[in-house]
Amino acid sequence: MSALRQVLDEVRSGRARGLDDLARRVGVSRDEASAMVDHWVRKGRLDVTDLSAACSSGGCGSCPSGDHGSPGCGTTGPVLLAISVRQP
Amino acid sequence: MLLEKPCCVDGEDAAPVGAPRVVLVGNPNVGKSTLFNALTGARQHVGNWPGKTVAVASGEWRPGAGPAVGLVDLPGTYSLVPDSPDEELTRELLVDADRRPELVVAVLDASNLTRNLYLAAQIADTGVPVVVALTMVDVARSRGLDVDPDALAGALGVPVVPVVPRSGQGVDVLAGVVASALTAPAPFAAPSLGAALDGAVASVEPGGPASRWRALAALESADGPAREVAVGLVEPGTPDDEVAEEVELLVAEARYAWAHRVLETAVRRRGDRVTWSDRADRVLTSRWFGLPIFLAVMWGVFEATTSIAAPLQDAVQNLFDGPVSDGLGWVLGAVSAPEWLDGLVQDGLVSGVGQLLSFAPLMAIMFVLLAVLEDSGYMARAAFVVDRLMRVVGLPGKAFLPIIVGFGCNVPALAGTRILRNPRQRLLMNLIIPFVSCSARLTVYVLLAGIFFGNQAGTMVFGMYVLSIALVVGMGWVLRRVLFRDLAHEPLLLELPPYRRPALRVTAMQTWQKLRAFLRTASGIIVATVTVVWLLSSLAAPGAAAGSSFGHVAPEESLFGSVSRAVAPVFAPAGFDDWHASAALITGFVAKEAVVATTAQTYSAEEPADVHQAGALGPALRDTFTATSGGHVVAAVLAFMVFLLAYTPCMTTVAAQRQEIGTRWTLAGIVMQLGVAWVLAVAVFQVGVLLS
Repeated sequence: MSALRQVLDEVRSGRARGLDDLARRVGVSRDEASAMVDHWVRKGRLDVTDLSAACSSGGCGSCPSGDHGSPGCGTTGPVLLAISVRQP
Repeated sequence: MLLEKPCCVDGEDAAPVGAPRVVLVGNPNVGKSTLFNALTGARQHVGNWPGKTVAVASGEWRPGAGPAVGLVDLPGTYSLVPDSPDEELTRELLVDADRRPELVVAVLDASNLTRNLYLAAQIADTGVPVVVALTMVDVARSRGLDVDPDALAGALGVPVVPVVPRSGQGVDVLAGVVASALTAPAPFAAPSLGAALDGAVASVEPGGPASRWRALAALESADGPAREVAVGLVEPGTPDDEVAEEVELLVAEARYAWAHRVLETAVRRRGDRVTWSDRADRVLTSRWFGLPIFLAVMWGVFEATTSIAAPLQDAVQNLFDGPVSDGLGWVLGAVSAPEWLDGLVQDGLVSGVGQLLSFAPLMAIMFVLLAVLEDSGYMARAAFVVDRLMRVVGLPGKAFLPIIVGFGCNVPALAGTRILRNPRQRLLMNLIIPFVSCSARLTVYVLLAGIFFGNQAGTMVFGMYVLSIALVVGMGWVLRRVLFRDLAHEPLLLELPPYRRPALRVTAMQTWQKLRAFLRTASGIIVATVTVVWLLSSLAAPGAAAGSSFGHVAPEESLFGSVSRAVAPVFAPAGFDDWHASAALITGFVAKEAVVATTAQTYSAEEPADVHQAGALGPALRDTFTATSGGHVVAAVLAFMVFLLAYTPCMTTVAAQRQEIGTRWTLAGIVMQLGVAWVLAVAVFQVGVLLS
């Protein structure tokens, strides 16, 4: 199986704990694993979601200091990225 | 090729007519526009591309000693298979025969080379001559990646020039290389995709400009004359409607394999660098230590919050009980205010608002500490740890996010469940989020813990939060096994962000936003409920003592008091069957912010002189719980706090729930919350009595 298909397979199985772990399991660099995840996101097979507890749950638009959809505080907090299989 | 007008600003073009066109192509955020600015300086303008709504910057650039060229900064693109109008424009420009540029400067980010090489491979397929500008070499180096430009040039077969667009370093070299490439253009040799694919491409190439790109596009769409060749590429038995997708995947695999070979040649990795962040994460997100560390951190937050805030709270409370109350009393006396107004202001507003404002320092300190944890990146680790716990009990992986939001306020947490795609998952989360202890409940915990647990107040408050998490997880587990057996496990991969030093400005802003929101919401609720409670407390209930009239009725014989007294016996098994307690819980159903105010108000109306003495609310509460619990005060107070944690948070939450899951499930949720709260409170009191 190619590295590209393995990336999708690993995310589907839920075995990998993060990008580094995913890269190790597939036998590619972190950079390659990240690019392949993005490839599947573009193809509509995976979702990448910012999981932020720090900012307003409605995003910058609902934050009182939000500025035209951008963070009015000048920065966003460090957030988790959740990569999951996109449901039909 | 003549330069067309790339822009439509004032109908003018920044480049001389007839000059060659050079386009900058690259992924978003690779420094492309900074490079464009460095190359063109002020000789540029921005406007929509003719016939498109895509904004493009163009300008004049004189590379080296050569003639001026028209330089176009195309929008950042990840792929020439377009996903957006921006990417569509780049594809059209590189593939359409009558608009192709003389040269592409492919701007590649050395720190994310794979996805950049993927785009480079697609550009190569168009057959346009290419020069590579390599950016972010320093960023790559800081990540332990040494990119060798010469080796990269050898692997790609095109010139590669490292540049630092911000400082202009390498720009002169790039200019010289571009000038040479324009003089003697050489196409970017398309990467081999393997014998089978290369053969298939050769067999369907239409000839002319971008011939290979067009052949690949035909194969990837598996349409027309190329379909037969495409079918020959895929596994026998592949369904007809999956042939195109399978060929597209084969091409992508081949491009990534080529990128991998280029990386092997041109990039040297300085071992598996283990950063301090990696080392910290091994401990903080460890399977065994992650959760205990998270709990210890949160205990520290509540302990520090309650101990630092205690003297500040006393100071604010003393201010209201003393100068503010006395001053308002004097003013009301001076204007000969009616007795009812004096009662409303002194017993209602001053008591309620004073109690609320005394929590402002506590909230501010807690919000500061939480903002520091969030901004440092620790909260993301905490979420990672909690996520694992959620998975263990079978809740959906992403469920922890609305739960964390719920510790601030349940209402946005309910809206936050929309990140879950499965409606059944959203329903489950909507039913358990009210058990997440919001900041309004914190005020009651702190009041009672301060009165009854002294130095252990912080630990008790922390215990309530642990109980809240246990309730969420426990109820989720029960509901999952009783009503939601159909929910399947949703695999999820979480990527931790790097740690960073918290910024003072961000911390201050987050603290102020949350404190302002709390005070704004709470003050409105307090004034409204205090007024309503005062009104109901001033009205005599049917059967009140003779002579009772509006404003002249014993509190327990008022309409509010009698309703509270009627409810109170329900709490007898839990040890707090007193009308003051049930009155606070009744207004707490409307909003938890009102609980402390109502408590102060009911005691104040009863014994105004006593309760307006600083710290007098404590003895009054102690007397009440002693009387109702038969001397088992601690058990009764704990039972009260547990009931307060578990029953319906507020009417706003009910409204939000109704919007998310409908009336039927909302009502079922209220019944469940009241039932769970009562059972737990009774259990806590009865066990407490047995143990004491």
